[in-house]
Amino acid sequence: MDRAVSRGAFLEFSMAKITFIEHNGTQHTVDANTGDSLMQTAQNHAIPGIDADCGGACACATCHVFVADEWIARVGPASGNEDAMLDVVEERRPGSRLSCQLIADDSLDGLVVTLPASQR
Amino acid sequence: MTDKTVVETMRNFDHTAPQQMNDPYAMYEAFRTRCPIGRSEQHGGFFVVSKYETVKKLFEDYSSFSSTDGVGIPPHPYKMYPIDLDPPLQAKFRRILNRRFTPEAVAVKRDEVQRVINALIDDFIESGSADLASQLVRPLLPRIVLPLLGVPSEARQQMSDWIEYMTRGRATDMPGVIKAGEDISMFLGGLVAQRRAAPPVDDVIGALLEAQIDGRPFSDDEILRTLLIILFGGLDTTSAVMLESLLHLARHPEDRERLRTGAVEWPVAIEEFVRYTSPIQGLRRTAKVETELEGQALKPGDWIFGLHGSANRDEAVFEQASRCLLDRQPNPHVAFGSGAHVCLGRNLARLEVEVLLRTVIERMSDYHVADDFSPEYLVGEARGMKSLPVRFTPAQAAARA
Repeated sequence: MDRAVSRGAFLEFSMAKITFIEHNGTQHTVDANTGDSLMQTAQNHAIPGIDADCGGACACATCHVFVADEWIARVGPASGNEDAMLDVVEERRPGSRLSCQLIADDSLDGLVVTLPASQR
Repeated sequence: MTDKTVVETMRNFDHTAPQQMNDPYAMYEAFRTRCPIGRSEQHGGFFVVSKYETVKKLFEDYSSFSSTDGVGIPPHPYKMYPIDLDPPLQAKFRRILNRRFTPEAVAVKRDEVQRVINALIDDFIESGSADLASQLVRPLLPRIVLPLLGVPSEARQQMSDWIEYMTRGRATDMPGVIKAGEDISMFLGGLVAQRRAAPPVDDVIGALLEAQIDGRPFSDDEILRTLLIILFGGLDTTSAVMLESLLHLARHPEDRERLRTGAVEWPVAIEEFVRYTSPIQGLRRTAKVETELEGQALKPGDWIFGLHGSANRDEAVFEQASRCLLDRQPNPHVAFGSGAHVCLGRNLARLEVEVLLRTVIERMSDYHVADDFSPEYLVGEARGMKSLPVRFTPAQAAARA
């Protein structure tokens, strides 16, 4: 068990390992705190490719990610405002989600998302 | 202030009144602590929220609080895009504009910004005194922003006058504002029509002419309403931050030194200047469903004015909020707004402010204001210093140096 995880366990935080794959293929596997959005997680770890202009209000569609195929059913579909905002992105696919609306918990441990070429 | 006087002050609150807004911060503190949601009876009546968390909620929850009925009080007679839209339609406009205002996209303007600033300083540096508002800051911004949009620079003065009138005349002379709006729309409409017939150019008009929304091109009308808000945003607000920063640095030579030596990093200091200034003091939203804020029931159609200027001084978030502390971090201010409508030009504004302050500190290193100088402000949703007279040791203009 690595130190971050053992410390987390000690403080009764739970963490999920999330892998972000940049458009150029660069992979970042990081620990997400339970309750943080994937957008916040990416920003906490300075992962490039997520702009998040609106700060997490589901209002700008600049934190778009593609959820890996095998995770789509487990993550569930976008609904309401998020679904409407996804119509704004350049390339919407079945796995498209706004990462500010994906909240990390144990059930997402191991999740893989890829980032679009640009959020603009 | 007693609770009763706070309610009375709130009832009379008017962001367009110079006597209230020349120095509004004690009033805001009373609002935050004793009347976190109140009602002003001015301009037809509106609710006012002042605490950081409440202001953020107002501007982030577009499902409850809409921009489609306008964001000014009194309302602007001209609807502008995308500021007077809600997501997701608003985001479709922003997608096209955002890419022209990323940090990378504006970084290439640095040399041009520097050149314009140097030329304006050259015009007065040999005299040893200047009004930094009328001789440096206000002439600077149209020279940067208009070419970016694709508006010819000969229209500079006219454009600045129209915008100034539409920004500040709504409380006193609505017919004059409508006339200014018609004139500017006529001018911009003509320009867009000309550009449709001309070869493509790489500027904001060019981008809007090429772009599609919902599978169709933008109309001339949509393009001119988009240009209008960029003009509003690009000229007035940035000058407010520049002047407030320049006054702070004139009165605090030790902060000038910290910036000059690199003891404080520019990006950190600039966020604090922006927070401290809050060039947009407040904007409106309109309730679109039955909802509540701070325990106050709201019904569809109610106007709510959120005070960015007060949120940025909320001691619950910012320690020593009334002081300009250049190394303040973290600094989660809402001076650029919060949510969908976060300032489009924020990266350009940051660049312009940095180059301006660096250059003034370097070329007019001992500039100072008179001991008894007391700033006066143009007020409204936007608040900015009218003039900033300074003295300094004369130096040679760069061209002759």
